Amino acid sequence: MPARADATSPWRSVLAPSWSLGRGADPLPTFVWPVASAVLLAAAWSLAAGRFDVTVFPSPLAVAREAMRMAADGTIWEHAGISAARLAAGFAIGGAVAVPVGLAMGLSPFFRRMMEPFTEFFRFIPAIAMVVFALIWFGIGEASKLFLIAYNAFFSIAMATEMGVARVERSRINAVLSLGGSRRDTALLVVLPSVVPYILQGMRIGMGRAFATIVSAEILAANAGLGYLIYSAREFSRMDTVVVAIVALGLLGLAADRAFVAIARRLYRHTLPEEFGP
Amino acid sequence: MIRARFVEMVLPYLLSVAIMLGLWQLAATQVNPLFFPRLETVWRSFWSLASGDLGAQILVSLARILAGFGIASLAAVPIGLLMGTVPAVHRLLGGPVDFFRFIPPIAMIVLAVAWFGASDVAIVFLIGFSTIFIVTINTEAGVLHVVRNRIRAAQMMGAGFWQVFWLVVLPSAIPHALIGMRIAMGAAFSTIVSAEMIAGDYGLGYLLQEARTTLRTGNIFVGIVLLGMLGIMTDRVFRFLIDRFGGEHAGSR
Repeated sequence: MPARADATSPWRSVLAPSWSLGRGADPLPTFVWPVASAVLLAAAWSLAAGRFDVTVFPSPLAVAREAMRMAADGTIWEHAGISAARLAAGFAIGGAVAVPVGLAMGLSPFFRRMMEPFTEFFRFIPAIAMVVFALIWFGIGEASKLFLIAYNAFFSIAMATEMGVARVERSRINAVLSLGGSRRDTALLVVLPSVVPYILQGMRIGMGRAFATIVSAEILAANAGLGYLIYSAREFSRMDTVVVAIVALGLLGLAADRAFVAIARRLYRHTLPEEFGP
Repeated sequence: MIRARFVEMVLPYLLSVAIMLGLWQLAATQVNPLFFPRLETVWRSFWSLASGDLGAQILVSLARILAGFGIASLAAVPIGLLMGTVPAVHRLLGGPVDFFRFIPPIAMIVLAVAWFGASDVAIVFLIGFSTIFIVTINTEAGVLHVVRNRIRAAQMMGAGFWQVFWLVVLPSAIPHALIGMRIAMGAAFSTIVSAEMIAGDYGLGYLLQEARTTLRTGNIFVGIVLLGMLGIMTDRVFRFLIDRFGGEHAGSR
């Protein structure tokens, strides 16, 4: 019962409600919590895995062994590299189209209204639903996967860019104008720099969706990549391989997300939009 | 006045939709109707599907979403409240929850089928997996973002832990939970399509997959448009809820 945690107890700092005053310092060294958390997770996992066959629910040990094997013979690097390259290339294409479109939508109300019927409609369509058209239009090669990732990235980045333009402070634009700047100067000196963190935030949101899309696309139509690895392991009931690939996907996604945050922090130390969190 | 509003607001919409449909039809007649199904083919596909079991397919997909989303949200909100309230729980669960959020739900499909068989349960599980971490994290953020002065005011007037929790923390956390649910609903739609395409026997994703193997691009187009409309409708429901119960978050888009 958090409210009654004894005021003199060293545990007060972690058991008293997060909003209570004067909770004091954490009694444990900082590394203890992540370790405890990992041990808890591994214990729960082993307990669950112990009741099933390895072809249904592999234990942490079996997965660790498989991970070592896949890291040693290079399988995991190969498939992860292919998925990562697809994501990066698709993102670059989607972003290259989305940023100018988003800027134009933010700067010109007429253009925004022209585009809105599509951005407002198509962004609700899961990219993977387009897989069939992607395959018909671009064939079963790399181009169809790049199209799906680019399609995915386009909406997140274009919407975020448009929002960034809308949130540019009027006073900063007026300052440039009153100092004799042209409209082009305001776009280049004020709007573009202040939109970059929003673009990064849009990429962050889009990246999560892009991961889901690439996995589905690789399951449905590919012969390499982490999604393919997962689906092909199914045929031999190698659930340990499946879990290794899943964890690799999670780590890749986490790394991409942290990279966007780090870039945004570095570029905009004091003026990050609130979406980036504390 | 009305005319000016028409030119400003409605005309661009009509213009752009007309241009888009025109280009599509042009592509359909000039390039290849298999690549770009003609509009009249799409219309005919829609009616032939609608006279079949299209309604039932939509309902099955929606029921799966509702089950997985509902169960996961019911679990996620209490977990998020607990993580936001008790720092020890946050330190134990925060790391894993943050990591699992980055696993694409559809990557779990092989495990889900191994655990539950190729059944409704597996698909409901995947929807739940898409939902639970997003809603948990947003609910927790809601607790941590409660305005401190409101809590201090309540405490100053003698409120104990449970009074602060029920009267101050919970009402401030609900809008964040709703925002999380709105985001999670988008993820759930994406997951249901992939899951039904890969392992479904019925539903909108299955309809797309079936149209793919038989190369009926008209049907695919109908499926895509339906998904877009369903997505917009559910999103509007959450927008309404956030406007209604969202406090200071009302009106955000």
